[in-house]
Amino acid sequence: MASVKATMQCLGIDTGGSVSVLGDFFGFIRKRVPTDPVSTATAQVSVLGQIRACQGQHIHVNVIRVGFDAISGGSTALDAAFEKLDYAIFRTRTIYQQINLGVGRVLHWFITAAEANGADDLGSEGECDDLIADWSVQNDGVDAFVVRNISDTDFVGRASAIPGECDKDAKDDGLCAGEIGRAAEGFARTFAHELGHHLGLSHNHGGANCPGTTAGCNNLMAQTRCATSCGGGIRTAVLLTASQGSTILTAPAHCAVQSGC
Amino acid sequence: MSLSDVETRPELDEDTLVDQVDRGDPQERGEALKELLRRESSRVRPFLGRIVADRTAPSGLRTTAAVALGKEATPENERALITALAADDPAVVAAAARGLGRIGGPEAFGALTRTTGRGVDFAQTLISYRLGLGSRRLAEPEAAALLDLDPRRAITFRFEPPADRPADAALRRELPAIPVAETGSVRFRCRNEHLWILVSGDAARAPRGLTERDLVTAVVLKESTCPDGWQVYEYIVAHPRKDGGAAMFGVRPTGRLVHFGLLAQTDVNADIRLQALDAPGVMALEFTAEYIAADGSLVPRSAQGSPPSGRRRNPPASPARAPTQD
Ligand SMILES: [Zn+2]
Repeated sequence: MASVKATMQCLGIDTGGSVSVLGDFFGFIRKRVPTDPVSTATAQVSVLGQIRACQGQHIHVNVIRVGFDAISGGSTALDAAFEKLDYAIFRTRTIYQQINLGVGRVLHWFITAAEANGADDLGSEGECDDLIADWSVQNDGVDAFVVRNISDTDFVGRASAIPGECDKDAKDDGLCAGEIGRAAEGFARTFAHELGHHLGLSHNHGGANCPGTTAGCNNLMAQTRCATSCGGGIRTAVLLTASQGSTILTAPAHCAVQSGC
Repeated sequence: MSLSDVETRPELDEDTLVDQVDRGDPQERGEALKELLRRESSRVRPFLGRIVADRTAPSGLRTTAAVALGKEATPENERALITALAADDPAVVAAAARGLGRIGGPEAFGALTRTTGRGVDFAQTLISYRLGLGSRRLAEPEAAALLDLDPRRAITFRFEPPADRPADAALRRELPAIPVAETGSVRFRCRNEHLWILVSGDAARAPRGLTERDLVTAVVLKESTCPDGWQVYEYIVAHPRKDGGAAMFGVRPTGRLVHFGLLAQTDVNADIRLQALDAPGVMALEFTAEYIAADGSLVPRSAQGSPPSGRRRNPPASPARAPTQD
């Protein structure tokens, strides 16, 4: 079995200085496993499991927070926001494990409210699209933007194209993964859902309002309203099918998918 | 009510949600308001103006109210947004300005001239083109700012036959104060994008109007799959030039100028040519069309897009790396 260090090097994570397994290998900004929002459950991670996940096909993610310096409520509110980011990473890993897609390197980036020039509070889909076009991390990770607020209730997250692009000069090279003002579970599901779009998955209900089966309503690619109206809720409605796995991973795999370490 | 209840408990009644908008912590208040708006609750309308004017309310709550007000062109909504221009919070001013750009009339235009802040200029510009005021015109870019097509990598757009327009209600939400002509629209695909150019009612009604006064000539909608529906991708505005033609500008809803071209009047009709400007993520474009004066329709001749042939002068910026927290 490969070591943590060898796996990190394969993922392109700097192992030069002092390394935190939870911070650098798992990509948790707080260097801790996030608290599960369900008080009776405990989020757990496995080093061995993560090494194995990276030995299979995986993606890298750049979590780009936008305007978090303008979050009111001081350090407590900011820490709660960071914990939501970590929970979204934790959930995304668990969800994509269903189709054997690992989440490898997770790096954190920030754009201040001043730099964002208003895009920390998205008032339309167009503002999300311009944010994605204006900012890119020049590496092979998927750019997932998390904004302070989305003031247009027509969307809770957005993928500007299905599938998204990998050319970091292109305009559809990322996704608006959600707003940090939402509760953790809904935010995490939207993060994973928009990532699914970026990787090539469409909604599983075509033009219909919601899928016609409970299994369909419990799929990650059903919209939030279906998860609550005909599925088991936003925590449960995170299923991915083998066919969705094939869309992302085979013939050909999405350009963001890396081969195993 | 715990934080996640709004989303996980669809049975929550509107009374509870209305109560929550006024009482909870900032996150609860925001989520309750958003849930009411998503349910299109009639209970929410009367207090949107109050929220946007409330200096003690959280910023995100006020901007959410402002955005909702900017989706319906009513005198009450316009008045509420004009009041919000006096807010101390620049995000609220920006959201109010954006809303007024979409729905405002002469009074809003006047109020915006007395306001400074993000988005104010473009709101005035949009109102001016919508109402034909001939003010706040966009400046023609220098030729060097236009992107050259790379013929080796050019993709030809596929034009599609006419189809039913998006539902009127959805169209009105996107374009609350821009009338859309019944005919003359053009749909096309470019790679995985599906776009629809809708000619505005003003352009269709005034055949020579394209060279006579400032107006919104068309709106480009883009089909989105998440969320589902068609969204404004670009406003195409035009104003007369001294040479008898018109200057045309493609502007994103954020106010960013992305396309520019000229309209040359022929005997009866008009020739249009549009190119792209160097802005992050924008593809080089060569679009030509004929505008048919008799019915105000647009007949595309050719359209090709490509990555720019040279280096971008405006590549995307890089965010700063965030260290893990100790
Ligand atoms: Zn979706």
